[in-house]
Amino acid sequence: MRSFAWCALGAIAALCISCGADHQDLPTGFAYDPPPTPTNLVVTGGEELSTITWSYPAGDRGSIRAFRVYEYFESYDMIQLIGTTTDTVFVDSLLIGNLGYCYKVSAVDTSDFEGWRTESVCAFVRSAR
Amino acid sequence: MRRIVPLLLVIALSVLASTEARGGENVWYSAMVPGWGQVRAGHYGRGGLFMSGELVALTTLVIADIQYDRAVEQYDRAKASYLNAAYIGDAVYEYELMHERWNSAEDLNALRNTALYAAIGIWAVSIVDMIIFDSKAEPPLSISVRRDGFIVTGSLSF
Repeated sequence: MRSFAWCALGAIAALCISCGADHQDLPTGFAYDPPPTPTNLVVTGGEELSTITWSYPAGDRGSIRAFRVYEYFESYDMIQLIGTTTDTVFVDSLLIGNLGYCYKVSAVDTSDFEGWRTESVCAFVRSAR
Repeated sequence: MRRIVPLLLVIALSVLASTEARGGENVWYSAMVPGWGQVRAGHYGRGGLFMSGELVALTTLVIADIQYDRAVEQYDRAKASYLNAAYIGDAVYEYELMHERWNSAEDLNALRNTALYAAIGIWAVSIVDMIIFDSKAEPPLSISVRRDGFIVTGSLSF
């Protein structure tokens, strides 16, 4: 009987030791400094293509390495990357005419970290004659 | 709170050591299962109270421990996703999620510790109680014989 009681005591002691906290300290502060969002996004619809243009954010040309252009599907609230460019213009060609196309653009910095995407801008694409 | 646990263990150990010299058998039953010694001594109400209290504390401890482990896993996942984020939107989302999971782990850790201290406290109090009040209670049922029959009397002690 006494040995069982000592076992119970040992079990409780083991329980105390095993109940240490496993979660580590939180990382302090938000670690990322994203590149700024491109401005003045304009989409112009053409014949089975659309031309997307934008501007560098004011005073922050140095940290931006490239821009990513996304097609935005409004009905599904989904985006698809259609290209990456170092320029401020992008042409999306071979589109199906008589449809509207929406786009978003974001900047990527030198460490390959992507900043906020712009609001979507849409344009109507005509069919080829 | 963490300082209380070794203190309670030391108290329980010294109490058990002193009882070993005095030879109170029921104390050892209480040391094994809180409330058992009280039940053996005829204090069913008190014994039941210790047993059910210990059961609730240990059940809470086990459930909180399982949930805590899950919360820690989720926190580690959210932290890894946050640290590996390549888009600011994902980083912000994972940062908030990581904080949420960390708070959840903190809460569950506190609950787990409370349940552990409660289990140890009940266990220690049960032993101390048995040492102080280890007297054989009246049997719960007594029969007195009369000329025209007999009387059965039930009693409940706390």
